[in-house]
Amino acid sequence: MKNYIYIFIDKFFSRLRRVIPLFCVVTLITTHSSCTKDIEIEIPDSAKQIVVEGSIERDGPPVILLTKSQKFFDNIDINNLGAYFVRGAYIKIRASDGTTVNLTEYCLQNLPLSEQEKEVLLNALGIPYHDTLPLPDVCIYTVPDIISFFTTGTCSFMGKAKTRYDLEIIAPPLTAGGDSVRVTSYTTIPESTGLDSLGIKQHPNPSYRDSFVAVYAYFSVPDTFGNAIRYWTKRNSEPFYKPESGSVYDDKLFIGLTVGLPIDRGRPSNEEFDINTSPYFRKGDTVTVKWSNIDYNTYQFFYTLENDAGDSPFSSPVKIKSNIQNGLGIWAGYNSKYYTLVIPK
Amino acid sequence: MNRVKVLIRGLLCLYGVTIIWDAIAQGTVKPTRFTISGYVKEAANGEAMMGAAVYAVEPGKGATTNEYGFYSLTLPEGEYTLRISYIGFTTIEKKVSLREDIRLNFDMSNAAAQIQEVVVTGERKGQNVESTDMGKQQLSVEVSKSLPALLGEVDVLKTLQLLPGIANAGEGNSAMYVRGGGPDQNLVLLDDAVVYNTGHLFGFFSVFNSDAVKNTTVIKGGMPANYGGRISSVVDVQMKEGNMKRWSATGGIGLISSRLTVEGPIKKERASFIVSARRTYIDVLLRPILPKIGDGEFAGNEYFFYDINAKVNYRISDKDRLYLSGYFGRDVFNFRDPGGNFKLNFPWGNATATFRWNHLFSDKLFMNTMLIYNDFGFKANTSFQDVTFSLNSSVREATAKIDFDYSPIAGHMLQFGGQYNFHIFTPYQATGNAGETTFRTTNQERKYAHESSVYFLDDFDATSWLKINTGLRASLFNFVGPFSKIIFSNGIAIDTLRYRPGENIATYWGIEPRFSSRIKIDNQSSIKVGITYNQQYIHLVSSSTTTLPVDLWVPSTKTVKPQLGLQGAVGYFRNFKDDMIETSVEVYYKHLWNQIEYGESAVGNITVDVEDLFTFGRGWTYGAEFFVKKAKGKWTGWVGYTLAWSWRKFPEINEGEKFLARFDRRHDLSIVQMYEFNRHWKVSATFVYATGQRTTLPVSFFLNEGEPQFVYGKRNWFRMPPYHRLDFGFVYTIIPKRKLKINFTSDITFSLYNAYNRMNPYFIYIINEGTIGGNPNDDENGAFRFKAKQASLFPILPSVTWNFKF
Repeated sequence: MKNYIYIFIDKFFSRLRRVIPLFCVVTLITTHSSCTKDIEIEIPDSAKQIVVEGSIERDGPPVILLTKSQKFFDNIDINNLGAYFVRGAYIKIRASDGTTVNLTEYCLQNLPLSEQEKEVLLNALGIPYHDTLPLPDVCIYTVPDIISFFTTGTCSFMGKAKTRYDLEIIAPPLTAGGDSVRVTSYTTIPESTGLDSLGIKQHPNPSYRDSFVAVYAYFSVPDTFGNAIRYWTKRNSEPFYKPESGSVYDDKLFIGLTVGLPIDRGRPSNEEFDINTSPYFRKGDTVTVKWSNIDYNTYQFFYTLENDAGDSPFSSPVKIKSNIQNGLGIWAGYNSKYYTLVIPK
Repeated sequence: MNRVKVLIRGLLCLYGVTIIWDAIAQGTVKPTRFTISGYVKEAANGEAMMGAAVYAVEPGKGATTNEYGFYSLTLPEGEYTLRISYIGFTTIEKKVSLREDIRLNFDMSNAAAQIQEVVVTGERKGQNVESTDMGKQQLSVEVSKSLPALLGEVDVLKTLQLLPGIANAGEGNSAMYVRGGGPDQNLVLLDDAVVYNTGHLFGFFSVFNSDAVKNTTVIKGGMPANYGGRISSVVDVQMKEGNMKRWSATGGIGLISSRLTVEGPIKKERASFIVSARRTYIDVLLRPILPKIGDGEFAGNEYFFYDINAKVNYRISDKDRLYLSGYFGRDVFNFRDPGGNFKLNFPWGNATATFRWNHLFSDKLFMNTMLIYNDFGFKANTSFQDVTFSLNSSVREATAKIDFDYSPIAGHMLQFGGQYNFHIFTPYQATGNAGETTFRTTNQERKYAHESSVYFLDDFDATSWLKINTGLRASLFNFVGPFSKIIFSNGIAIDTLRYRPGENIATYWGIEPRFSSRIKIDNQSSIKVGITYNQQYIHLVSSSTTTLPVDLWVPSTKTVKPQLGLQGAVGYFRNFKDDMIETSVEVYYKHLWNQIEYGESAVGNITVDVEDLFTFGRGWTYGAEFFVKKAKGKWTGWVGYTLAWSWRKFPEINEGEKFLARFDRRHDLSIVQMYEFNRHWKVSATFVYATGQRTTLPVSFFLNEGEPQFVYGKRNWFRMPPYHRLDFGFVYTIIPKRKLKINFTSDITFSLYNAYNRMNPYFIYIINEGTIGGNPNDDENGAFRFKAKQASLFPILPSVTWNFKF
């Protein structure tokens, strides 16, 4: 779902930012000078912080990745990736219905999965798979009986709608000689509002109409404030991807309305953006939309994350609004529904 | 705030003492007094001359003409030699036998026209040493026209930035930071109408067309009581009035814009007009080129701006004069993605209209009544696929203002008056259509406010060596209904506030004392002391350093308190060589309360009341300004240097620790030199050096969903490399060999901007290379890392403009 706030602000400001390079282009033509150059910056020391990337879906187990923030100009490659993960943490989740669970750490190298399954798992985390190099020591925390979830679709602790989940993590010291770190958070799985339907419209550019279509989501927004949405899309058998920006929206602009708005295709972050193809789907694609209700703190995290354009004459940096106390990242509850549309050839 | 009360009491006591002192001094002898009054005008075109000195030589007393060229001088009966002087104009001396009230108008001839001198300031001789003005500079538009200009566009605001204490907002930007204050703290006036957005093209050019401008006055500190509503400075731009004597036209053809001004008498010596217009044509020039750049991605871009200034004035009688002036300017940015996916039409701009009535009640009492309308607004009409969307925002103001100048005796000038403003603030209001559904913004109600003020000031010679300018301004602000607002907590509506039309929502008021004094050491030097306290009820908070049209002006409300500013300054002024060389040193300290910034996690959003994104704190700035100016001769110019600090402290920013403002400039040096070789050739050069701007860069990062996210360090922790630049300007005046029937002259102006091609930092941005978890031995999917890049805007830029006049 493309939030129209983004359509205006993102598109407009991205055009605005392009005005500046335009000057460069004009002056380049006349002077053959360069408008940009590399600059060395000495970064002051800052304390490492624990980073939570946790989620709990309705009817799904909680899954948490624990990493550490890194000094800005540090490299990340396949050899040191494992060192970014926080190992040996104690993690406890308490639901508002009184149930609790202590999470177990699973590392990729020890999982009883095939190489192909590990490759899929790595790609889902945004990490490339190198068949000639050893697997990175990537670990996640989840319920102790996660295998049961994969085999039977159920496990001892699963998310429920209208339930709050309190998270407590006690992690070992992030640096040698430091203290252990305790972080807390909470999230709520809200009720689902869902979509009314998916539909298609022709591509606005006649040159692309033979191959591409725009997919529209039709939905009704309740007339009570406080609903927020996040969405992903997938084509055929590829994984779900979130759109480049505008994956979240709140309901203030559409309160009480039934609207149909274009959906941007989600795509991997390394795929180059093309205005004529990136937001669109190909004829013949089977499109699945994951449409998730989220709580307001989760909305604010992704909203601030997606709108940080850095410091420039045209913007100020945006500090990402985290719901993690004493750490960074997000502990998010999702109430998701899935919708599939087969685009005729 | 107790300190402020003490200050007010102190000033009131001091004022009482000085009034009594003055009364005693003037009252010991009670001769019959008569008044000489009149107007001082330029002989060539009948334009009023502001700031001309009318000086009675024998008693050594004088007066200065006001904005309309009016003066009044009351002296005991007797014989006097009147000397009327103004730098660059031939001084007039006239014997006067004062036996009754007399009216004397003077037409002054431009000495520069006769002896080919450039004159830097439009003011009387010795003004800087004689007056109580602190931090005040008056610049003739001719100076701006003599200096090199970016792409040949003469810009009065950029000339002001070359003065000490005034910093620009970045490369090529006309927005200003005065003595460490924010850009919304400058009261920018065009013929007394507030100009809310001073920049075309996101601030690269000012909205003031130099052909329509007569004078620009900037007051950096020591703001007299007749100005108010802002806490940092006043920039008062006066439009030309129109030639009373003959028809004339001026214009120019430049690289990116052309200008044409026509002026002339409607009725000779009684009524005149001026119309001035300019438009850029970079859109026309680039239209065929853009599709060929890159993959044609720029093909849909189109940008232009235009503005029109117009003014008529009518001298009804010797006692009454009417002026009607206006400005209308628009920037238009159109973007159309070549594939038709996305379209944007984005116009924005200012409009002002000023009606003024000057009336002389008597030879001593001058009245100026004004009705003013001004607005600034923008619209954005977009369509994305089949969804359309229109957004608009504006600030509008209607003002009634009355000012009186009263000159009871020579060396004593009283000014008093009042002002009422009605403000309408329209936040981001949007409507859109998605298919058959129409949606619109909620919680974006207009805000209405009344602002009123009265003031009184007295500028008088307490003794032969002590001159005092003291005054009080009382201001009142009411934020009123109709207004409604939904209050949210964590995205959930928890309350709705509703106010009836006219219902008072928030009230603020204040007493604003102003005081400055000049202690004369000798005829060539003086010490000045000034202290001012100001309140500001309307605010512009920007997340950018430039004047973006999408930035919103907001009133003081229950949440947003008025900004308060207290400034104290001390200066030493000394002139050399018969006032040919002026020097000064001023030191200042300024404290700012209720300063406003966006919160650290604020994201501009059309669905929230922008004030809900604000956070509040305080600021303090201090510095020293050094200034040396050669005011006349073949070689003129100045050197200005500022050493300054600008601090801010906000409980919710930087974890409550104080931080240096983004525009904190430790060192700021401007060297401006002009030399006139002969009647044909004039050369100028400017050199500027400024400590780099501060910026907030990330110090670490974390991963979320496989993507790196920035963690920023302390606010403004990084200082960019210093900014320096050398520009040259050459003006070649073409003088016809044979005398033509019409008096046609023209010149060709060459500008060389950034002569040594310094790649000055405009901003720093971050790119990343490689892939997270990549193979360090793989060229294509190598190790992930960030790199910092510095973007620069203008390399060496030559330009040429042809200007004409007939």
